[in-house]
Amino acid sequence: MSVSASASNGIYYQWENFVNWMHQFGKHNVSAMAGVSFSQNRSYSANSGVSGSDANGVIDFGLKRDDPLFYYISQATPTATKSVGGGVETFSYKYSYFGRVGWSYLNRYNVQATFRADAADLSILPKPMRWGFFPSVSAGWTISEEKFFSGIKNAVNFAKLRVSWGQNGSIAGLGNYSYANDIASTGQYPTGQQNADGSWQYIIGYAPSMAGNQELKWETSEQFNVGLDLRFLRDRLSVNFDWFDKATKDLIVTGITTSTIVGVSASPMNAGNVDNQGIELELRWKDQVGDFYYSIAGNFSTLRNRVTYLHPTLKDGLAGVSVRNYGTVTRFEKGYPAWHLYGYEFAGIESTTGEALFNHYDENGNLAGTTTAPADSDKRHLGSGIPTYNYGLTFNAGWKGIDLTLFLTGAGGNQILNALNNIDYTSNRLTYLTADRWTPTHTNGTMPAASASNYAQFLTSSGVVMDASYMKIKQIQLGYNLPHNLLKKIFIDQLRIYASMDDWFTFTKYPGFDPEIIGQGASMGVDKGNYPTSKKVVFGVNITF
Amino acid sequence: MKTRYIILTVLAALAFSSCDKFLDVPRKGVIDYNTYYKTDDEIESAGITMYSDVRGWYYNVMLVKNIISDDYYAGGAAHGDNVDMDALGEFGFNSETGQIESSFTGYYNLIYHANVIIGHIDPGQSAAAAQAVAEAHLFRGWAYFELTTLWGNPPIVDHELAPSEYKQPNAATEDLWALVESDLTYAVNSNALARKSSLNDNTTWRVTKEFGQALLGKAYLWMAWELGDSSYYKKAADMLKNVINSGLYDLWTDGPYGDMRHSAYKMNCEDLFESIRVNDLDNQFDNFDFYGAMVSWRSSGSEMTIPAEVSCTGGWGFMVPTNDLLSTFESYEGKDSYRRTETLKTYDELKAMGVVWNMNTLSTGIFNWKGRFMADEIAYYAMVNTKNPLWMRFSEVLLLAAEACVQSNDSASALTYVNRVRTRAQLPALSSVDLNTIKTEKRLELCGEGQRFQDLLRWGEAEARLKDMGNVYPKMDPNGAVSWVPTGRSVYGFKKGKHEHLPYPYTEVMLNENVIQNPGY
Repeated sequence: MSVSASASNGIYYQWENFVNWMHQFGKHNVSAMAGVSFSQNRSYSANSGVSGSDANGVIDFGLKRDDPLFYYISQATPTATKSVGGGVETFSYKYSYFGRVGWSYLNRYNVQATFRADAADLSILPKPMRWGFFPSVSAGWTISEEKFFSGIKNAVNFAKLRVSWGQNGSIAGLGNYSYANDIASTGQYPTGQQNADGSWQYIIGYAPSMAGNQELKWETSEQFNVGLDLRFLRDRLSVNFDWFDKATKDLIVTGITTSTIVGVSASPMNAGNVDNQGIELELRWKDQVGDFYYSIAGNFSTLRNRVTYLHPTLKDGLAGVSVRNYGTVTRFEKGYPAWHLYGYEFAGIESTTGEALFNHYDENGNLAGTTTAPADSDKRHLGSGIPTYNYGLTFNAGWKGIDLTLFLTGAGGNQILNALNNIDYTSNRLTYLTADRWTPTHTNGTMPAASASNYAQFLTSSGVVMDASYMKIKQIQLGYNLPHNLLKKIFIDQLRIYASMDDWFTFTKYPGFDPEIIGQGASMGVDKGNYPTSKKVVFGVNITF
Repeated sequence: MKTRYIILTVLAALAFSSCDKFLDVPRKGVIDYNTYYKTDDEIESAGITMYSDVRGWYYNVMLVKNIISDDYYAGGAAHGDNVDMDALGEFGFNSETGQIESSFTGYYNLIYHANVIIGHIDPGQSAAAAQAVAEAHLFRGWAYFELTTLWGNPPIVDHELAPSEYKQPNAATEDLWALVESDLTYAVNSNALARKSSLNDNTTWRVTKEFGQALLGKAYLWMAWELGDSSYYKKAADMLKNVINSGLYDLWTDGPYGDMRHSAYKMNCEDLFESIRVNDLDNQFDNFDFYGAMVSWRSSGSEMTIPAEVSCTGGWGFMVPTNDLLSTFESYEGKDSYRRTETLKTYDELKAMGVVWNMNTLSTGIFNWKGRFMADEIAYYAMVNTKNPLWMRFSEVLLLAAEACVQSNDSASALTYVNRVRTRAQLPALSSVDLNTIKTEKRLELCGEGQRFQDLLRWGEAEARLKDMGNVYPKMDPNGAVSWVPTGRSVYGFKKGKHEHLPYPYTEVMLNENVIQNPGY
């Protein structure tokens, strides 16, 4: 036990000014806005503690008396061990200019343009790179307001076309001068000599802690979007359609490895550009027949993720996550999805030995048979952890006090590299790998022998890359609202009882725990045994007074 | 009206005229690189980083070099216990074998620290500055000796690289050796390196002029071979004789041969350079290093019961001596020779000392004795140990010199040097010496000290000696009966045209298109 005390205070202030201007002439509406914002965040903390023992070695926590009235650091004995920490006043600042102009005509046409200039302080970006400039424009055309539309307004009661383009800036969690190369301790080294008091002599080493990057700048995400909203049959059917292209430029990546011959850790860098393209479609139908009402809504989206540019200090790409010490299995590489799966192509087993076989490629990149000892040049794209399509369906229905909800979601087109197996552990192996493995008496198995000398390569190959498409019924809920006139007597406005099965059904071929719970960033699509979503049965009562 | 405009203007000025000077927040608690390395203390703190780097090499470098020789099997609890070690011992390693990658990056980390010193410190500014710069050249030359002999054509990085220079290409063999020679020559001729005060000075922990000379002499021996220029043999002999004749080093005879690496005999008269570990209870985890645990006999799972006076317990049993090593001892020195029994112990010999085996182990029934870790040198299952990692000792200098002398027609000196080593090994003096004798002598004297693989390559014997490594591994029952189990590899052993070099790390080849991977990887 020890006694400690800490104090911290923070002061945040923001100084923001803007002017607004609006004007209407005829059927035109125009508006403009310009502003400036400045904020300072100061934080300051200090802490102190005491602990210790008296001259006889009895632990007394460094306090004059073992009495709650003395449990304060000011009551420390002269011999107590005292600790202090903090005491560094830190400041962070943000500074921005922003503006907007807009125009609309009737409710039919509208156009808006915005502009931002943001500055990061010195702890985030180097001074010459501090400003980022981010414009955007959007336009909308409500077609259903047009005169020519009135003829079909009974069938199509609303139609709007949207187009937008814009940029956003991000500093992706940078801070603490991560671009700088300052001198930091590399640890102590003994001289082998002792001081007069018997303590050992050490010298503390100092060297630059990072290579530094004075060219670090804002990460920009640029989005282009075209959308169409339609509503039919007095809003009973609605359709929303979007096409988007979102490009992240100058993606900030921290903790990366540059060429190993540099000899020092790399500072964060703007590693490359990533493009996301896709469509989103949403359909909704709702109707009521007497006491029975229902709605059904479905959505479907596609995503095409590609790395489109890599910083010239990186050649083929960035190496991502490793499966233990067996090898790297993800890469950030131009022309492929971000952090795609990459490794050897498993091509069955050698029936005489049970060793794994892999596709081998010659120097021209042509397939040249199989090998048990693959080389670097035999590695290929094996898949991606990013689904190429997602979908969802929600169904609601009710009849007199009873209501039913069903909600399902799914994804497909993605793969998982199953990294649950560990060669030197003999328990908890996937039967996927063991049930049909080679043994001396089962030489026509499809999986390598447990003792295969290239099992490590197998565990980084397509042999453990699996289809991760799934569909999940996230919720089935049945509820009942007690009749209102019954409740009035006990002063309850509303009382609903319900039973629900959450995350109960999963339909997938993936043999691991949960195809939905997989890594982020460089670990995307690599299942190292993350905790799966739990199945739940919920019974509940909602009461409103 | 006028006042209104003035107020508006002042307000607008206040509102929109902030200035971004506020954003220049100074960084606290760190030192600016541009103003560092001025005082002698700062210079010393820069130099010490290289000593820490070298100490950090030991685990990876020593295990890699020993396991890929014909002296050791990988070992461990069972086959497959350590994927990297098996791959090394059976020639199944690739560009992602962790210990090879870590060795490579370890050398370049040191080269970076050396380049920081060479690029930022003016050797003329003080004696400490001259010493730091000389040490930086010595360490960098040494790192390039290892890189060149193990990887062939690694990139030359002789200054701190700017981001635009990150992709250095493979260097030419001649340029690499020229760099090794000029760095080591600079260090040796600087008159700034430490020197021992006497033969029994056991406090000089820094790299010395003599260590620099020994490295340079060693490099000349490799240059004679790789550059095909036999005039380097004479240069090697002359350089190594400087060390031999300095009177500051001698073979150690203060105790049994097998105990020479014990912590009680740190920095003894035989040691040219060792990294420092101290038995400091306040900083025990400064000595965290798996090497001791890796090579100590397999007992962490109660496989063996080992009396405390024999060796430590808790080891993981990697680096298992080969039968070929034992039989070479026996055919060269006779059965149960002094040096053999002080270097290796057999099952029966250990059993007689009270060692008991409780289950099957991956063993040849032969155990490392020289340099074993004792109970008083370790804590936490031998993961924390206080043994000084040794990099070069005087008997290596004598045998390098003997080889250089034989190759430059100075058989008389060669015979003297070999006989010094043999006498300490309690072997009769020879009356003549040839290259083959020196080769065997060096294998037996320096086994387990990370020399053998590079020697086999240089002598052109690697394929013949290593082609069957990885075919089988040994298994021993508690009664000492050894059986041989196939590893299951369909491709194993040293392959000509491939294993003359280690693979460059996969990361390097992927990030740097100017580095061409060595053939076969």
